[in-house]
Amino acid sequence: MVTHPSGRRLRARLGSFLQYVLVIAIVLVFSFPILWMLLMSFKTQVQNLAFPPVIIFTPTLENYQNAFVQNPFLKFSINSFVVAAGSTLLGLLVGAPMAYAVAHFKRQDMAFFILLARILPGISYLVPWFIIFNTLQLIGSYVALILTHLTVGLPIITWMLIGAFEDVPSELEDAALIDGCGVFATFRMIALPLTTPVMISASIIAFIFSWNNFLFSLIIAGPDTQPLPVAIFQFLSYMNINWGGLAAAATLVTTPTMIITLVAQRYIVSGFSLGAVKG
Amino acid sequence: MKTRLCVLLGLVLILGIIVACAPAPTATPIPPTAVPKATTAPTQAPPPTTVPTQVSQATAVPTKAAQPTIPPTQVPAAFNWKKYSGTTIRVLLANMGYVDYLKPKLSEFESLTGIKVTFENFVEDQLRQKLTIELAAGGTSVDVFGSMTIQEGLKYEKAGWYTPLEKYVEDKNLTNPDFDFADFSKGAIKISQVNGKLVGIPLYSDAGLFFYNKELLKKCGADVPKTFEALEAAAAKCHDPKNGVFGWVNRGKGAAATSVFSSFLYGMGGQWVDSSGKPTLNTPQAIKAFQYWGDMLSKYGPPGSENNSWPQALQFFSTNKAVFWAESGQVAATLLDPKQSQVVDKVGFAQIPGGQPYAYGWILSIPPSSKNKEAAWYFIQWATNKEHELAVLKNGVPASRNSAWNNPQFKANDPHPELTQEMIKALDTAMPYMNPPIIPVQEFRDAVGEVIVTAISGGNVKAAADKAQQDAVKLLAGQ
Repeated sequence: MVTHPSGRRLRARLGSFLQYVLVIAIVLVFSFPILWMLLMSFKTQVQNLAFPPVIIFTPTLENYQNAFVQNPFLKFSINSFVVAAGSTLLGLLVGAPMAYAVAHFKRQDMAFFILLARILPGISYLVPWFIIFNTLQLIGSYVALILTHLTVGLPIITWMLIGAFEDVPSELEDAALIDGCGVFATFRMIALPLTTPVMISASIIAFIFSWNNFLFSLIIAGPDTQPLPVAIFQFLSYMNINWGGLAAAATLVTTPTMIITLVAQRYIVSGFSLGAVKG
Repeated sequence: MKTRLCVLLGLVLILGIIVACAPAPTATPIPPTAVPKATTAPTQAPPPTTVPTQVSQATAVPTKAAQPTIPPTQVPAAFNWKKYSGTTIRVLLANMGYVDYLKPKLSEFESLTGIKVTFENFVEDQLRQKLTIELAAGGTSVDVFGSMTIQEGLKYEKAGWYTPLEKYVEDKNLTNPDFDFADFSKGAIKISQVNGKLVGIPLYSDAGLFFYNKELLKKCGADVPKTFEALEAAAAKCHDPKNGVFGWVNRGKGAAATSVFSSFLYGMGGQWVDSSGKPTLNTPQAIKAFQYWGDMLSKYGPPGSENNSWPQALQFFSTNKAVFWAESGQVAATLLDPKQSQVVDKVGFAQIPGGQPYAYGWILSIPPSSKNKEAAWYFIQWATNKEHELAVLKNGVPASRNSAWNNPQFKANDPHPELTQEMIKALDTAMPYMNPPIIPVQEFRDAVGEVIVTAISGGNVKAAADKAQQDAVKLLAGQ
């Protein structure tokens, strides 16, 4: 060191240095599997099986080529997007008024029934669903997929919004009522604009959950509507696993949700804390 | 009161929405892309926009180019392949080498018969989930499905999901004379029968095989073992963990280990259940087999063997880290692929020492609920014909037809005659013992798996076997 800072400053510097080391260490731990997946997606099968693992290697794009050329990954991505976006929008359309009703009229018992959908294991719906959608000839259609994915997103949207609506100061709602607004107008003009950040974060979370959902898609989807999480397993075969292809496909599946999360991080965090503290 | 009324109203509303959506799906706020919905109903005509490449869901192979390659001489004049032209069948299969081969050829079947094929393939566990739900829920759209009789045969048979196929095989109007049912090997027929009924046509039949690394074996100066004792001695001699070489690798991960273990259990005179159907997991022979399996892995195997299944074992063996391995013969294809293995010219093949090789394989079946059984039977005949069985054998899949193994052209050009010879020998003696002949196969395997893990980690094998026996007895009593 050229300058000689006082002991206090040195300690402060050391403290912040340690802080950085700790942050980097924790980030490394959490991002390691993702890094490993990325590395695997650029390796050949032999390199992936090598032990000790190969760290320095010539990257190959063969796995990504396989994903796009041999498998219609673009089609699967569109399917995933349609289903996730559809179920999230429908979830908002139904969930927001529902959450407002629960918050406004203090009907917490009703909210419990919505939560039931998340408490029961998903597979218990599948047989009745299959019978219903089969009778309606909807198996393999987007409609059936979106409706089933509602059970994934709707409870999250509703419960996050209940908390948000409860936080809207009742004075504002009373003022709206005095100015001649009905309940629906109050909901639309007062409660909705005030809870937009929560709504965005709830939609993102619902979108991600639907994007990642596997079981419902496996049973309900047809060959033309198969979303990504089901398609990704095409790289597993009986007594043979294509690790590189699997990693490339996993990277492709993860990327959109990662980007969404990074861009919308602010909303997600504020959404989580908004319902937490009641004044 | 009010709450109950609300819940009731809500339910009615939801049902109403679903019913309202059905005839006109565009009524719901769904993006316009949803309009060309894919209906799986077999009766419905396929949408005119569907091109052949959309049939197979994962691999968009330029099928059109493959079409003109079918020589017209292959179509016997006597047999009418076009009889069911115009029907659409839905085929559900597990991912495997045979499927990779068959998928690009589907358009050949379509132009041969005029039958359209909707082909879906999944990882085996997912195929089981999907099939179980669809068939249990009374779905009628599955026309052909793949299954592994030693895993789910009894369960599917009891549920009535197999159409007996003897009638179809014998019917001259339905079966091409070239199909030649007698050509299927004895072992392959064994895995296609449940309770004496022919429930499917075998795609391939595989058997347990023994692999050794010639180079490592030479280095430590041991011979290829023929008995359990010799295997243990040779593994001990070659075990050199300091240099990263292990004498023996295999599965140790609980239930996953039971299939290969079965060869050792039967080889030591034990069995899963006795002739009266009672589990026999704590007999002296069974305990000896458990102890042997545990000792081999804990003494001469890589550390953490109780967490390993075949992919980990493959990793060790294919990277020159293990001397001996026993596994299903199909992994030979991976071991001999330079893109996936470093032991291509070092791997040797033999019979599992002192063991009784296990047989298993995938078969194609028709569920009784199918509305296109004849067209489905056409597909099965085509998928398992002589030409295809020979072609997959060249790709390293153990074919189920004798004509493929005995094909002079194959024999002359066989790059691995040693493997072929050992496979034929193993297939000849293999028995479908890989899993116990009971319905709750998975639960039984879980009970056995616990004993295996105990044995590897050096616990009390006798006590664990007694407990597994109790669990298994309870399990079967509940049936």
